[in-house]
Amino acid sequence: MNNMPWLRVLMAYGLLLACTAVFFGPVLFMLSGSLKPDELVLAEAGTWRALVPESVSLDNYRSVFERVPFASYLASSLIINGLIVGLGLMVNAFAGYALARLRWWGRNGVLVLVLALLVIPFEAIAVPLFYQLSWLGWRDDHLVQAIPFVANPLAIYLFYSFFLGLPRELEEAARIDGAGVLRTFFTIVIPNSAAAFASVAIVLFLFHWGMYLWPLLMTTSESVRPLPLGIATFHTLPPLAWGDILAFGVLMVLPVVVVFVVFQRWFVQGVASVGVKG
Amino acid sequence: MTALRHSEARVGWWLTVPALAGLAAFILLPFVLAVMLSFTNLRMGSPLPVAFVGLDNYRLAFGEPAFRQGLFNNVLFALIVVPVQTALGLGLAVMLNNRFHGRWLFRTLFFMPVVFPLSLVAVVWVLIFAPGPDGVLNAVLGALTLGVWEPRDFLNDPAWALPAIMVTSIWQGAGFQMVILLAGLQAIPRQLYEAAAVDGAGALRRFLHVTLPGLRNPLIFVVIVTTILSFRVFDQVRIMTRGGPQDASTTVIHEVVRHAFDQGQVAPAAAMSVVFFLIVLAVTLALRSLMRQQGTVR
Amino acid sequence: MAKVEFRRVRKDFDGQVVIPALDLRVQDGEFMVLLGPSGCGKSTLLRLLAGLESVSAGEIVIDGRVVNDLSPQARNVAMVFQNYALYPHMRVRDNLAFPLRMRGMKRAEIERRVREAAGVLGLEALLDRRPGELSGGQRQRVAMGRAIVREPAVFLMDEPLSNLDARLRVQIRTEIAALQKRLGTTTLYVTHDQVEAMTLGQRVAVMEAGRVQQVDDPLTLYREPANRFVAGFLGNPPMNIFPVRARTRDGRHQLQLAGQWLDLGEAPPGKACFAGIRPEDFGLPAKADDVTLTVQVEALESLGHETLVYFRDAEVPSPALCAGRVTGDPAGRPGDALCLAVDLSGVHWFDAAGDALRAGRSD
Ligand SMILES: Nc1ncnc2c1ncn2[C@@H]1O[C@H](COP(=O)(O)OP(=O)(O)OP(=O)(O)O)[C@@H](O)[C@H]1O
Ligand SMILES: [Mg+2]
Repeated sequence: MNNMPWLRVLMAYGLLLACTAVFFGPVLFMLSGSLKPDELVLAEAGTWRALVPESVSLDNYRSVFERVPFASYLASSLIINGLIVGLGLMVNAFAGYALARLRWWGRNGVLVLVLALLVIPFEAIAVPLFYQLSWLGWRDDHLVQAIPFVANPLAIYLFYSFFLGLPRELEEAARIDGAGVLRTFFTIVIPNSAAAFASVAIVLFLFHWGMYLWPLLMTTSESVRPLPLGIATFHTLPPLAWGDILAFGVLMVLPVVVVFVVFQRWFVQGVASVGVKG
Repeated sequence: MTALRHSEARVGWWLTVPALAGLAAFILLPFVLAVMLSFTNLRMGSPLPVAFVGLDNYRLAFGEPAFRQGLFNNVLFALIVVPVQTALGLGLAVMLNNRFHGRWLFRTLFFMPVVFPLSLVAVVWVLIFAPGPDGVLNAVLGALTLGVWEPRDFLNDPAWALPAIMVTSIWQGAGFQMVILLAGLQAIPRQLYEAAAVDGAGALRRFLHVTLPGLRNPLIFVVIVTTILSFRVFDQVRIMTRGGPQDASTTVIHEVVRHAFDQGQVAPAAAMSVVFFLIVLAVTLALRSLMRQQGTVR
Repeated sequence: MAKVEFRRVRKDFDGQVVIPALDLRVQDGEFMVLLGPSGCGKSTLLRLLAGLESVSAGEIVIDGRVVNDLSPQARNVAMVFQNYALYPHMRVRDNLAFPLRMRGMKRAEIERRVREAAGVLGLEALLDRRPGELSGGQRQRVAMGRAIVREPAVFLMDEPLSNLDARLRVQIRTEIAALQKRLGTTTLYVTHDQVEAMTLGQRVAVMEAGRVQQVDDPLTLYREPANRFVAGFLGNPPMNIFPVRARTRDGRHQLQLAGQWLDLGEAPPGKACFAGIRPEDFGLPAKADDVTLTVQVEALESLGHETLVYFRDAEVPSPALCAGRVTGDPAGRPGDALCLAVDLSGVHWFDAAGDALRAGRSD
């Protein structure tokens, strides 16, 4: 906006601020609501005090920990997502690499299968999967909330297309220099794929941090339930204390926002690379 | 095949096996199961032996007003949310494609809702849609219309429940479109704009003849993704309205879950899942083929 | 210490034949250059030898051992890639050490060898940098270093100089030649630059469409090309090829060029269909008994010490652009008629299939 007349600059900034109000307003509302007494959240909702609290206190945060097992929800969420991301990176990177670089019988078939499974939305299979696992007696623990999401067609596809784009010569040089297939993958490919690992990790983490339907189906014990179920439970737990709920929300979203702000570049790269290529 | 290739083939298989096992057990098998269940009379707690019932469940599903309403709502949802959200995302992306101070900050702010879990978004928006003149949205609309606006209970009003959920979804998703379209915009070579400007094209023409064609693939991609997500809407519905009032805001997935878990009607739920999958598949294929056809231009 | 042999090697990609049946022997310690146009299969041949591709048929033999089934790491060859393929996340030191580590060599020995290779190539000051912090020439040297540090049986180089600027290319070219001579390691060197081929190769294998057209030392290749392809590929500008129209008049053998009958020293071979004349065989008339040819100038390119004269033989159907290389600066503009001297003693004859015939031998 260098050589624009001042009026247009003004209008442009006005537009930007309006958008900011729309997109950031609710976030600010949540933040400020979490810092004030419960009864004021709704009472002040119609005034500008909705966004800027008169006095700030952390009482709500304290009561989040007192009224519900927040630490347990958080621990469950961290365990579940740690498993999904940790195992998911490994399993999907292996498959992506085998599909992109190695020659083996059935490779094209598996590639087609991965692409086809990409289209199946989780919601379409949640019900039979629920019965399938319940029939095995496997429910109500952390693993059942994580293991089904480890192998992920989107993550495989992201790795696959990233590895395809790596210069082949690096691996060939390593093979000639005496490294085997696996050695080449670990010593040459992985160190040069930080961007892919980071963006897949972030995508997996963001997709599953807010997971609601599956834990709702699979868990009954509070001790294994993750944050999204926690907030929904909290929402229905009398007395309805809005300040507490919003404080819960802030605590729940904080890790994700931190992850996002810190790793923004990789996340955008990962998401955008799929989008721009189609 | 030589011995050399044999070892590579072995490694390739072993690397793929864990992922393949996961995909087979947790996506492929349940999907096959869903298709099979949808042709049986399985019911939770029913003493009847499981039997093949043909298309009964599909008939039952389509005969049910709530499911039809859900289908209709999903279609309406897609028809409104996809264009609005895409246009919004495109507007934001175009705005942020200019160089100015604080661009990074604005991008972060606009994108932030995308990383919010839907359950949290739903709860926050329940507050925003709170009834009475003190509700955030009622108050804002009242102020903007100088008091003409009649406060209403959005989430309990059959006419407003679904639009309220749409607004929530658009708010949450527009940043996603923005990021992808912004990356697409930045991939358009500067020279194209310069050439168009030299040829005497104004800002509008440059947008129509350079920007939009250059964004074809990212645009089609975000349209596919948003359309599919529009059919997958569940969390917001469950938390904000439970599909009500009087099924006014129900969706296909909400009906699936309600039938399977609230009412134990597993087989009809499976039939609904299959219908849902077919819709998603058809939409994806249709949009993909569109992409392929036109993708040859560039 | 290795001979390399390709025996009836065939390679196809998904049914597409790239190399039909190739035979080639490289002597122990020889510097063999593979020369050919883009897409003729030079890289494929190197990659087959390195084990990066598997042969579809035939045998590859290194030092009497068939290596078809050996993995790249078991073949003891080293390769320098066109884009160098240095490991971006490793320092130069680790790049050089990598092949030695993979062979499980002792740390002290690795250290010694790396230092020695760095010394040979003048890389001592760069050992702690990463590839991203090096200039193109330095990267090239590191790539060479990674190849020599292992003391492999065979060096493979795939257009190792093509990413360098012209000046550096000449410099490193001479360094490579010297290095190879010193180490005496059998080398296969791929290029499509004939100057590189002529200056580096003890022998040059000219390839086209997956077939070896001729293997010879550079001078023989230039003086006695085995066929029209080799003749036309070597030399800049390439040899001019004309359809033969010959006659014997008054006991003199004559050849028609550009509508004029020129005297030949001896009769063309019986089966001659095409005559090839190098641009160097043209000149400005100096002596009275020069055979001369008057041409319609199409373009002139003055290089200072010499001038390229372009013309066409309008008598033949769809005439190709011909070139003459003359010393000095002939006066003239496009469209003018110019009188050139032609030395017809060096005419190359080719039969209908394009294979070379020797003059005077009317077999
Ligand atoms: N992996 C592959 N799959 C299919 N075809 C291939 C493959 N690699 C090479 N080819 C084909 O084989 C032929 C020879 O390729 P090659 O790379 O050996 O050529 P080249 O002589 O090295 O050319 P250049 O000088 O351009 O490097 C080309 O037609 C190429 O398209
Ligand atoms: Mg090549």
